[in-house]
Amino acid sequence: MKQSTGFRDARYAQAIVNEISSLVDGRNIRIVHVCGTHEDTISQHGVRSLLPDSIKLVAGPGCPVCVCAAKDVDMAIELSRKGHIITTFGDMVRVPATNSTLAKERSNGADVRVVYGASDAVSIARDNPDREVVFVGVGFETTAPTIALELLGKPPSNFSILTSLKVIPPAMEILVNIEGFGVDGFITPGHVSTIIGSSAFQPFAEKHRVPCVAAGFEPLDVLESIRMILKQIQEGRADSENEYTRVVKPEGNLAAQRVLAQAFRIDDAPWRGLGIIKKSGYYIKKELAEHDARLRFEIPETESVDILPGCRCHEVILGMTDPLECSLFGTRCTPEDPYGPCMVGHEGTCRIRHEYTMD
Amino acid sequence: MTDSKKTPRKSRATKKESSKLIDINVADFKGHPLYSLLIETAKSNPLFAGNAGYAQNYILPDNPNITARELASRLSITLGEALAILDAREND
Repeated sequence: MKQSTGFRDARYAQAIVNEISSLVDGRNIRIVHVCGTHEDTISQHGVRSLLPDSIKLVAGPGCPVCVCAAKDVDMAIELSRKGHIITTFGDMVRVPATNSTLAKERSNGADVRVVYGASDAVSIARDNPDREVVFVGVGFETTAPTIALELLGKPPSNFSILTSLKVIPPAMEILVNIEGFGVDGFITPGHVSTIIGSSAFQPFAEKHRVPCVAAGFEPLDVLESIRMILKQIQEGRADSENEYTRVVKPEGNLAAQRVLAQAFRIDDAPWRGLGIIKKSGYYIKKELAEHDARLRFEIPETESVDILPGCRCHEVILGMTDPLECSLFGTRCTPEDPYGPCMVGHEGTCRIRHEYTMD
Repeated sequence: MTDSKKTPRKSRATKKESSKLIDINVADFKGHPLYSLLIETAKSNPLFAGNAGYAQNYILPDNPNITARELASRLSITLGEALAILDAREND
């Protein structure tokens, strides 16, 4: 707790904000982060309100549940209707797919269970040897190693995984290539950086001449990372730096990287509402195909609908539309009854904004 | 009785078409007065060019008769954007 309160000290915050104000020097700066937990910190602690008006802090695609393609959820729903046990994270059961959600299927009698991780799903498979148990694995580089570990640990033959695992750096490439969007700096995700290392973003920073700083999740972490980005801009540098030194190493977690490489291959992947991003998804390797739900079950290709009429989640995910600009926000789309994926989980920009801005 | 002994319950869910969905393709919608506005809006999506390029290179050659809904599903994009991609191909 002491560490936490230390990173929330108003005097330090004021000192950093003063330095930010002197560094920004009236220029318009757009800083993008790609992590739902960063957005939560920023919204919860009112970080935007502390910054000079010329700094725009934008939330990019940092919520794995939000970018999970509708067809993946539709597939899980189809499997649940066949009587298989579907296991997944709590947020996922509420994600709207084309016609239903896993939560609705559960209320209709399907066996959908919330688990804390893939290891719980493996335990369920061991306890139910005569039934198929499918784990819907959603997440970024942070979650993927835990799933890889279970795959490599000889799970029971009735266990399989429906992966919707994404790789973050290719999504950042998309953002910098959007004409007229203009990214002056990235706060790189602390959790992802823990796995792949802060150095992993160095080639990206150099290629696009965009400063990147890996940040922690306390308000002072975020403020300090903004200061570090502005310092780089002032000095004409574009490097990948590390603010979150108490957790992130330049080389990342090598053991986690090893299991990722053993269990998964990287290929093109659909991001909800954004399209297919090249080399942005983890898929189960051929050697482990018996545990790949996509290959194990014959699931017919569905005509899935990722963005329902009126929903602007795809614009919110890109940081081009603020949730408050969406006419459905807080009316048709609420945390209790989400219409779009960004209103579902605690990492979704709309959900976070709703939590901290609505009475 | 453990879970493993239970007979899997059949879901009561029935396949229903959501009233939220609109089943259209380029041919159905082309004469609509707002069609050009839809295409223009879809094309203003900053990712449109990339998605159109991906469709042209990897999807349309093998699926020349793909519908807008199928394309939207394959790419995880909006139906409007898929319509615009197919429209652009027809106009090429």
